[in-house]
Amino acid sequence: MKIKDIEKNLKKESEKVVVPDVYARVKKAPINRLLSDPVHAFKRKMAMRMLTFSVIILLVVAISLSAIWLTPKPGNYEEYGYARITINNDKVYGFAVNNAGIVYAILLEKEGGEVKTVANNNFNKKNIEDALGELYAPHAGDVVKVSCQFDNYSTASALALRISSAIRVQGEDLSVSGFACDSGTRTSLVEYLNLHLATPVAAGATVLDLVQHYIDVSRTVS
Amino acid sequence: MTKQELDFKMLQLQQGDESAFEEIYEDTKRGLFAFILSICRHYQTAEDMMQTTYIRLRTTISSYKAGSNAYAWLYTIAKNVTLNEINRRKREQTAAFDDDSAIYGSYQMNDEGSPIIAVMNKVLGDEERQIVTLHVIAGFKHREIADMMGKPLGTVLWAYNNALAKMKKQIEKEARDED
Repeated sequence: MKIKDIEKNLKKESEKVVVPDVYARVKKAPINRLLSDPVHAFKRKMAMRMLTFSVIILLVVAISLSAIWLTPKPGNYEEYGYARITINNDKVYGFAVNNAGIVYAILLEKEGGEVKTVANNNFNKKNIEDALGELYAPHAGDVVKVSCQFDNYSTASALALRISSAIRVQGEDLSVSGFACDSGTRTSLVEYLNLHLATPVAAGATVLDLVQHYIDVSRTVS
Repeated sequence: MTKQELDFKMLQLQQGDESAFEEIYEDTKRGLFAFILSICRHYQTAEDMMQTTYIRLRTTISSYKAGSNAYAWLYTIAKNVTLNEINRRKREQTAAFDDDSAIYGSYQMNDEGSPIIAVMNKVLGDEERQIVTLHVIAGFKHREIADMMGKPLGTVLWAYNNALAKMKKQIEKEARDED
């Protein structure tokens, strides 16, 4: 058999092969059309890009705003603490205050060597400098101790410094010292509260707990 | 259909013209099926791969470049899907076989009426069988076959002539044995 005959017969035989009909099944597949209008295609692409970019920008803005909103603001964040002003080791005033120096309760705790519990509600919601201005008239040679108690040491020291400064500017020859979170003041505060509370202060009480007790005592004696 | 006509039909198909697809299908189905069959040597598999090829044509038509050799593009799709299927079956093969029947299956054509095809399947290697199918049955020129297979023209020409020489030798041997 010649090569040409092989080729011819091969062709003939292949034409007898039954080609399966898959047209009906294939026709169900979608045609992935080419967009006919290049301008339309460009616009669509550009629109998608703009949309994606906008979504990304929105997400960034949303996350940033959330972060800002969640960040505690110094002005709005409120801590509660206790400030003790001791004048010449004779008079002791106690103040329930917040970190901005706003007063919630004032008690005269000691005078002339005696324990006192005298509430003064005239300065509630006012700042401690104003209260001190009314309660304490400085005299030359006075020894004033300022001690602040907060759960946060920084807050305590800042307020102690502020009160000390406010007293010094009275202009008199005063000895003013400031303390923050000193254990002596805390101990004596707890002892003072225990005198007035039905249940002793819990051992691990926070300053906030102590302040709450302090306010309760001041209301009791008001 | 000439190459230019098929190219035009492809562009029409890109626009979503269903009638263009029908014409493409009718024009290419015989050669395409023979080519796929030459690769996998199993009728049922070839039918599945033919279906996959035309589905792939429809879903990827947007990537067809105007002026390309549409036949070569289509046959390349067919070759890739068929070889991928064969390789997939090889990976899934769990038993050892002496021949490739588990992958290819037995050739289900009626050899009594197709002695030349039977000889082609018997004596030719995979690439030889594909080259002969593409040239004789699908009608591709040797240069086009070389492009499609990524081989030098000389290699394809040599392989084709060698393949036919083998077939001739086998046919003559079988004729002598019958005598």
